Amino acid sequence: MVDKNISADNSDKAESKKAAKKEAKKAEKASKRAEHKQTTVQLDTPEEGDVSLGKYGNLPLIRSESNSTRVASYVKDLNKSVSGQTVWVRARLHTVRARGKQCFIVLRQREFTIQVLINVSESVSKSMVKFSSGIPKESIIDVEARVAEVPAGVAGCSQQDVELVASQIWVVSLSAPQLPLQIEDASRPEKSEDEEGLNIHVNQDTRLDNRILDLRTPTNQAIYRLEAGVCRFFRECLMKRDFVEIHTPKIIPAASEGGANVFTVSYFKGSAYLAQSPQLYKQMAIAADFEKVFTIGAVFRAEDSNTHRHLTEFTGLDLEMAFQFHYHEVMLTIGDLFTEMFKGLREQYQHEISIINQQYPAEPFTFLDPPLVLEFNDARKLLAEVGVDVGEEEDFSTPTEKLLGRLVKAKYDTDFYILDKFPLAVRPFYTMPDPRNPKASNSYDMFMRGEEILSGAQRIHDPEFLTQRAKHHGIDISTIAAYIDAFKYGCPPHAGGGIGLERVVMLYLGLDNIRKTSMFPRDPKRITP
Amino acid sequence: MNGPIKMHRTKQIIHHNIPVQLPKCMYNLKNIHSRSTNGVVDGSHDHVGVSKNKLDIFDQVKQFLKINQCVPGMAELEAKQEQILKQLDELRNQILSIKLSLKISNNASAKSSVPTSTISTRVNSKKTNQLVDLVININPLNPPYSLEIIQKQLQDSVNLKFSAHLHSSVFSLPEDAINLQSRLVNANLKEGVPTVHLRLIWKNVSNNLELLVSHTPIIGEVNLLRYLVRAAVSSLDYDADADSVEIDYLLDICYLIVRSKTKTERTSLLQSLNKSLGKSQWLGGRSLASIADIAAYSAIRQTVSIKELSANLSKWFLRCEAINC
Repeated sequence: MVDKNISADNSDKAESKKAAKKEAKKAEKASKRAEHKQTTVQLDTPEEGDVSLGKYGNLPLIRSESNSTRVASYVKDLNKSVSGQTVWVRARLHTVRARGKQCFIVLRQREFTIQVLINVSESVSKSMVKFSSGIPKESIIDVEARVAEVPAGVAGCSQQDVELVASQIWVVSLSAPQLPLQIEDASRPEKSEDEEGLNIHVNQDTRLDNRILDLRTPTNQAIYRLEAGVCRFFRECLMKRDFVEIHTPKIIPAASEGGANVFTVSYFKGSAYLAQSPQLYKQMAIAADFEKVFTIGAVFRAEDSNTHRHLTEFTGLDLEMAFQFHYHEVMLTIGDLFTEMFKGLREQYQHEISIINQQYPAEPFTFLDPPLVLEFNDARKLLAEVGVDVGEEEDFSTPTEKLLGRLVKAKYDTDFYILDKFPLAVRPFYTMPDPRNPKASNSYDMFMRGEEILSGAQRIHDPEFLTQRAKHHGIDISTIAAYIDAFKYGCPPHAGGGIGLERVVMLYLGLDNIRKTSMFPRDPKRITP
Repeated sequence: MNGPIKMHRTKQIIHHNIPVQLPKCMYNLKNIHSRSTNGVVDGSHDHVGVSKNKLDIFDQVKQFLKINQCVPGMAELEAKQEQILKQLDELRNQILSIKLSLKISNNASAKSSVPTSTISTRVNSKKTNQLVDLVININPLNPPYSLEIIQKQLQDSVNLKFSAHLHSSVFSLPEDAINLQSRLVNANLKEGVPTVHLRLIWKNVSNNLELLVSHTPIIGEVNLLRYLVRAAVSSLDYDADADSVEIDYLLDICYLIVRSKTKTERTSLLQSLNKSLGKSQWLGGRSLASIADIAAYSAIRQTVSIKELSANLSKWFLRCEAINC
């Protein structure tokens, strides 16, 4: 028994030796990890005799257990006028840099940045400085600090003439120490002026994969604020003109246009489609006496094209309006709407535009008031002057469109213009033909920086004529019976059009990719995040 | 074979005795060299051969007429020819007038247009046809008042149809500019006169406006006026006048007045205008208002207050205002 015991003991010992070795290794690893942690995040309680104990650390998870009357200041409001005051700021830690007994932190709030100085002093201990220098980037921190004027100015911060001298620093929400992309890299200007400087850029796909981080850049902050502005101006301008906002269904029983590029969804026992445009429903609202309607909503296109300007889901701003005598009433209303929108952007979004231009430089957007209206034949003449011939019943190709944009810009210096009287042959069957010229139609396109943003027309509101035109186009009448029936009980003459929000913002800012103006873009290769 | 050393035979690359296919796409020319070899020796027709007969065509015709004077029926033939020529002339005039009326109805929206005189309006419409859509970039602080006068002065020969746009580089228009714009845009147009479409774009340009005909802008209001009076036939066209140099000189002064930055600069320029005016009614010692008066009126109205003018000039200024109304 004893022997056995011994042997057992021996084997135990042998095992325990191995185990001890393993343990030791584990412990070593753990200690290393802990050390690593210590260098990055200081979670341990500070050493004793710390003068600034209780003035820094990790704040417990805020679960709304108590309320406070403490007012947090915004970084953008910190300037010379509040110099000398003590303020609380909650912001993201943009960069941190320790140098001996000092620690410099740059706080970021949207596009505004300010420098925070943590200096070893009577009330600030060494370990507080050490803790501060270990907070990972992008963490959200609370800082209590005194605003101090900096005569020389702080380079690289938006608040140049003041800095914060910290007396308390608390981590509210910790960021993971490793970032998939650096905010500085993501916000670096596309064409840096000095060739020798860092030239690291973040790939479009990396940006989209880590959209939350990418959206934190000042440029993206500005882009989506401006996009919201476009939407707001669209709404405000139309409300002012007595338009009614309507909401149209996105699940529809039949393909609204064409049919090839439509998403099919299963709908209980059958299938349904995702709306490609609110066209039919806008027109039905007109037939239902709403006179002037607009709608803002998602539009789906199942086009398998991976270009810089196509998305499979985008936001459509659509409007439809009944008119008295001539569809130009509607066309000019839309033109004025754009002018008003551009003016609003020019006046209220100057700051955003200049931030975006720093990263993506573009010529300022120019326009005329009232907008320039050219007829299709005028445009053909302009093109013919430079040797590009476009047939009378031919549509413009994309390069021709861009060339025309350049010609118009050279002559009239406008980035926005309306092209009227498109050939009937290149328009859908419901477009009203021009009564004076059988080859032309009452339809118009609007262009921004040489790219088409809106395509609209007077629609045929007479069921018989509509049937005739549909037959002429070789369309099976039974498939569009619902559409034709909408006009059976009388309908006022009407016209309208629709724009893509993302495309308008992209072209207004002169950006090169529509994915830059769609917060979570959807294209044939991406449905995440 | 063709040398002392027989290396190898070369292929003959040029064959001289095959028939050559001449292209038929153009037109045939007489072979001037082959004529003499054909045996028809005629020195007067052959360019290469030396002409033996020194008589020129004029002499030949004279000779021919001398010989044929006594031919019976010649007078009859002559009369017939005359008649045919007359008919041809008539036909030509008819075609011209049809051409003219067609051109006008293309150009202007006039429903019916009857050409009055042939020659002058023909030139006119031909010239104005080229100016379909002109763009004028104007600084709103320097409204070109001359356009209003010139629109009235030219209304018998050409309609100046204005439309106005506000460029995004300008935030709002001063009152003077708004008034001028509304007068220009709402002016009545005569029917049956060719129309030129001018687009005014209020834009942040220099003091001197820009006229865009092609890609290079024509700078300056006076140059716009020169362009317009030459394009349209009117009494304002001064090219054929004896004092055209003087008018050009006055126009250049107007250009400088608009461009001037200091008051002293302006004063000296105004003095030269005053000198040119002298004791006469209009600038350049003329009895009728010329384009120089229109340009000077506009330049002064843009830059100087009337109080700064000398008594002589301010009287002239009031006369200018009278033609404006």
